[in-house]
Amino acid sequence: MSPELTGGPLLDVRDLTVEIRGRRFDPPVKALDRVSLSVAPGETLGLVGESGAGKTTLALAILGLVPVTSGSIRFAGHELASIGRRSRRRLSRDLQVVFQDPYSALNPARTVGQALSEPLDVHETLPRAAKRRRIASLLEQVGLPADTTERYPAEFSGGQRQRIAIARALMVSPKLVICDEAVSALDLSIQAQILNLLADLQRDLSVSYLFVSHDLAVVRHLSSRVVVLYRGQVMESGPAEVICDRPSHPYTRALLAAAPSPDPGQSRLAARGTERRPERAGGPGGCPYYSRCAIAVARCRVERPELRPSAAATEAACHRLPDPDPTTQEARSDENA
Amino acid sequence: MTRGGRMPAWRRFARRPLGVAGAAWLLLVLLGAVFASAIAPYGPQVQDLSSALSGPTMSHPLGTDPLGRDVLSQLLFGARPTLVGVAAALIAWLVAGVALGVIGGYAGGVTDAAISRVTDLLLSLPVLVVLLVIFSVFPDALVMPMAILGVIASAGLVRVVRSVTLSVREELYIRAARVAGLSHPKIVLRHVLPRIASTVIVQAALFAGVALITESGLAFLGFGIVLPAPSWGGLIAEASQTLSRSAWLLLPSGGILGLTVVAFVLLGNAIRDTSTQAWAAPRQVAARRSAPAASSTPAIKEPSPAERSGDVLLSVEHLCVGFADRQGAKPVVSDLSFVIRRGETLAVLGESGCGKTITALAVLGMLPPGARRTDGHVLLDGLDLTALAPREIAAIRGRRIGYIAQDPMVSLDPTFTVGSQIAEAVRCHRGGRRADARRQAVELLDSVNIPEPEVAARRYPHQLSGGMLQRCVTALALAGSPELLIADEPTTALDVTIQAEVLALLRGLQQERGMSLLLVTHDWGVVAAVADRALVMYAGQLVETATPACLFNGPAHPYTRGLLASSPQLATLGGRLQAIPGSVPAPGTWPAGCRFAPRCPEVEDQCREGPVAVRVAAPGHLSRCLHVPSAEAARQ
Amino acid sequence: MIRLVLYRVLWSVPLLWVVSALTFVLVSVVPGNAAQAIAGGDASAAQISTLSRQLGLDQPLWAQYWHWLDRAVHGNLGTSLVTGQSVSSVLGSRLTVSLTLIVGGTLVAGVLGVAFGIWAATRGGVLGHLVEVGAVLGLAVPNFWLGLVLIELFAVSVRIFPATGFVPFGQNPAQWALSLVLPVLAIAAVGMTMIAVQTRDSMLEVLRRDFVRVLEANGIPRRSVVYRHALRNAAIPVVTVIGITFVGLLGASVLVESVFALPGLGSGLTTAASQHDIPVIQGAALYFTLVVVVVNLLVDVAYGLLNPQVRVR
Repeated sequence: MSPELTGGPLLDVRDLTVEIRGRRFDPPVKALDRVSLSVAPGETLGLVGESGAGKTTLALAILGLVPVTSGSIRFAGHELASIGRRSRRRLSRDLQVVFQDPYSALNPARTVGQALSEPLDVHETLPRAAKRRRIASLLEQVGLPADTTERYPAEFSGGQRQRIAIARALMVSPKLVICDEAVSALDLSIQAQILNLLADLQRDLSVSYLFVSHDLAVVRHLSSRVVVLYRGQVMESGPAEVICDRPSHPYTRALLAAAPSPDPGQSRLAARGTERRPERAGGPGGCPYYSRCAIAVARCRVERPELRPSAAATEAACHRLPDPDPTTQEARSDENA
Repeated sequence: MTRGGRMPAWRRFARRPLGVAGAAWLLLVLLGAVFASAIAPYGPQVQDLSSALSGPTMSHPLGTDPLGRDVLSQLLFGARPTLVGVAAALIAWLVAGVALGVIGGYAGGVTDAAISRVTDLLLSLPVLVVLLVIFSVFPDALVMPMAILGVIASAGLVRVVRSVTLSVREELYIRAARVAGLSHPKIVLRHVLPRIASTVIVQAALFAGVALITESGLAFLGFGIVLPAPSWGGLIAEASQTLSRSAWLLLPSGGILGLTVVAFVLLGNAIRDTSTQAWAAPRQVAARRSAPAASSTPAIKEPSPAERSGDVLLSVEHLCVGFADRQGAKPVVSDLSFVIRRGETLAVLGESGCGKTITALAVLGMLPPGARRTDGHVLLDGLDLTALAPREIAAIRGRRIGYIAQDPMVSLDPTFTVGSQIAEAVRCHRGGRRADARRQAVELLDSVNIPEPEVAARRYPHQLSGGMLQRCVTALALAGSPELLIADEPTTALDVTIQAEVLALLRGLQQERGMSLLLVTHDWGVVAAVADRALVMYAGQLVETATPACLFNGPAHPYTRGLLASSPQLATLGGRLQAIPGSVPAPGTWPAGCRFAPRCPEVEDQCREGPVAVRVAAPGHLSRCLHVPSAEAARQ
Repeated sequence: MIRLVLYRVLWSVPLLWVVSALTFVLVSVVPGNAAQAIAGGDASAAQISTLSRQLGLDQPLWAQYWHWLDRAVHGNLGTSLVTGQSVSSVLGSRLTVSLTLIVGGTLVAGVLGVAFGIWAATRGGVLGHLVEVGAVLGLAVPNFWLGLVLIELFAVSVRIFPATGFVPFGQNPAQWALSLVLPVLAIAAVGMTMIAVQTRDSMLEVLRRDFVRVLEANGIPRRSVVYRHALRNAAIPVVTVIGITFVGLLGASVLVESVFALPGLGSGLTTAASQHDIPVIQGAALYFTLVVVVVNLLVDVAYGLLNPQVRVR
């Protein structure tokens, strides 16, 4: 049954775990550890985290490019984690991706036209004229001239290549597009153009986005809800403006504090000296943020916190919440005990 | 089939004379081999003992062999078995090499490991030895041993194809094709094979040469041919036996081998160049020595004499830098002037292509090949760096100016420990013994807040994280206690929480040592956090300079205003970002008037007429915009 | 590091076994040939079969191989079917001659090739083109032909070096050296150009890397950056090519020894091949493979020494 009829989420990830094998004699690493999230039709879910958080692994797992160790990924009513090759190919029509690096996303030896017609060739058997019309219409929607099809990727700038990549993703009218750091490699002014483009396309085509990024501000601008990931686990999730303005989890707060603001008046850096970061060894099975957390206590080292509702409309995985003021001094004395 | 007006492949090939020559020669040899009986002036066994071992004569243009047989005819008749052998080897080599290489590289895992073991084995087999063993059993066989040569030698091709396939497999367009639903065989056919084609072609040409030489060597030893049938190697054998009598025979026998191998190589290179030319980016040509061009824009000096006091450390005056390209010289920085005072942090802010990195490199005197300073001066505490000899400016580096680059993971030599590299820098600048230098290196690591510096000093770069490495590079840059530190996007490649620490570190070090900092960045947040003054660049020019507060609260140039408006941190939630339309013009395509005019929301006709001079919007606040009322005309 | 060495040694055992088995199978495919060849063209069938029995050639294949393997592991490689001498004594002295030639050739090719490569990378321009042209020429000129040309030029027309023949070191060191000059040059030519090209390409690639810029910008002298840092990084693929060159020279030695009449393994193998002297063929093949195994091991060790990412996690 189609989720639009039932009103359920378009993408529903539950307890997803992905293990990556290390080098020859090393134990496997959990790139994702029981991650759950969902995307409703027509909405944008932002996925935030730093390097090593597992955001790209999550995108690749949903796309079927990385094997899943356990958990479920339901998309449009189908279970992706255990799907067969043929069914996945049919579903890939509705699930597309835009990657980060515009220079690696297009085969330099093929023309733009060939790159754009690739998804069409797989999913539809359109006559050549209809194909050309569809390509032209999408190029227009992303703001590129029609003669782009004859040229090679080397002739285009990063921003233009990203538009081509977006056009390619939308060629077969998908329901969900995963944007994996799609604007991170672009200049600020081009980034703004692409963000506007993505917003416009969402409005015109009713497509959902899973928007992965390390930049809180960018994610906040485009998303209705945000999920914060750290070392493969969800730290906090909730509405975009709450997460990005008044977060509850200490990691999200640290992210927010570290994100430099362009307003010199608000800059906190000038006040700080050359301080060292507290480094503690974390224990297995404990909270992944233990080693860097300013308010961690003994319990945090051994017991993994579950996602619980916090004071401000979000869900956070932290033992110290709900705590009216998580930055109190008692944290330090607790830890020394 | 033409593509949008581009030249068809054969025509592109025809433009390469060497490739055409190679193809022509090979065609000649092929025709000679096929039609030998028709073309050759004599039969292969026709002897004329009276003119044995003669040099070139009218009736025997290439001379005769010891039995009086015509050399030219021998070569023609000998061509066929030779080429058959080469073809057998080449086909076996191609099939085995490409198949195993692509399968191993693409499939990965156990398959790849197994194929790697097999190639290791093959690479360890001394080929000629194996062939000799085979020939001891089958002395007359040709095709089978040559095919086996191809299979054994394919190990080299497997290695190369495998590594190219591995890197292609990681490219994002392969992932995109998988997501689009393309099956693996189709992906290999459509995306992988074309990318390995040029490598394979070049290797194939080389191997054809090797196979030819090997086949001749075997014939020289008497294997692979049924005597007395002629062969190229056999001719060399005859030459060796009669060396004392006449050396002439060496020339045609070796010559034909050499020419054919060279033809293979030339043809292979030409095909490779032809096929990649269509889509490759143009290479840059090294700049030719030429006199610096005269500056065409009016001279701009620092407006306020109070600022031109003795505490200016770095003064850049009318700097112009250009790149030499196939289409001629292209300016990338034009008429850039700014100062940095002692203890001050200047942020140079701009997007890609604005020339900020080139500016930093120009200060160091380390412009990349192809770039040249065409005008302007760089003065360090009064000393004109641009007038120094290479040795003198090398002495400045590290001792008076330090440098930190963008990606810490590749900023240090991976084959030396971090500590040894810092110690080397210490010894360069401060002299002293090795033990002292090592100790000072550890002290430097401590001063950049690295925990357990003695342990860190013994680590190799690949064992450290990005944040730690950037601190290590900073320690290296501080080894000579420089007065100015140039940091080119030092935090761009780092996580945001680490960014803040590294910036805090730089700020702290600067205050401790009274060092100046030239910080190149594209990030407004960095400017706001650490800069005392900021300079905005666009299309090679300074467009605005002020303190971060003035820049943020009262930008005086439409580009700056546009940039600030595009920042998602300052946008209203859910609203549209005010993006600047269009994109940065490439160097060489800059308009004659204001370079921002094509994208400017406030553009007027007068903006396009001619170059725009820098104006003073307020004390210490300059802007290159005609809409700024010039409170004071540019001085002097 | 130790793990690497052990791994290599472990893998060399199957390699030796495969080579010996292959060789054995090949030469024993038509057993009649050996006895026939030795007995001569006009020997009777009875004489041939007697000879076969004497030489143990009438036993089943696997039995012959097993006997051979058993003795080989104990160092006894059998006796030559043609001369009756023990294989190890026949090949022992030949091995020394071949190794001298091959090691000498590799050294010359390595040293000159690396030198030219670095020169071409740091000076560029005309020298760079010269290296490229040289590479093509090196490939195009067969080493046996080059040997003949060298003989013609320096031994026949101008009598500096002896044309052919080998003088053992113990007998006359000066003559020994002279008799080796031309063969070593002939065998080294191809390898030298390949190594030069690889060194140049490798150096150019390394000199473009970021760390070169960072080190130089912070005051490390250019000389040190090029010869201490860039060279060590560039050496990694060059070492691999030198290893491959060595293996290639093993094969080339067969031809060069023939041209210069040097009593080495290669010429021994050639003679044995034409005479179907199975024990000698097998012995020679085994010796060659052993040399390859040792060289590969050395290359791996060198690689590990140069590249910390392999050595240290």
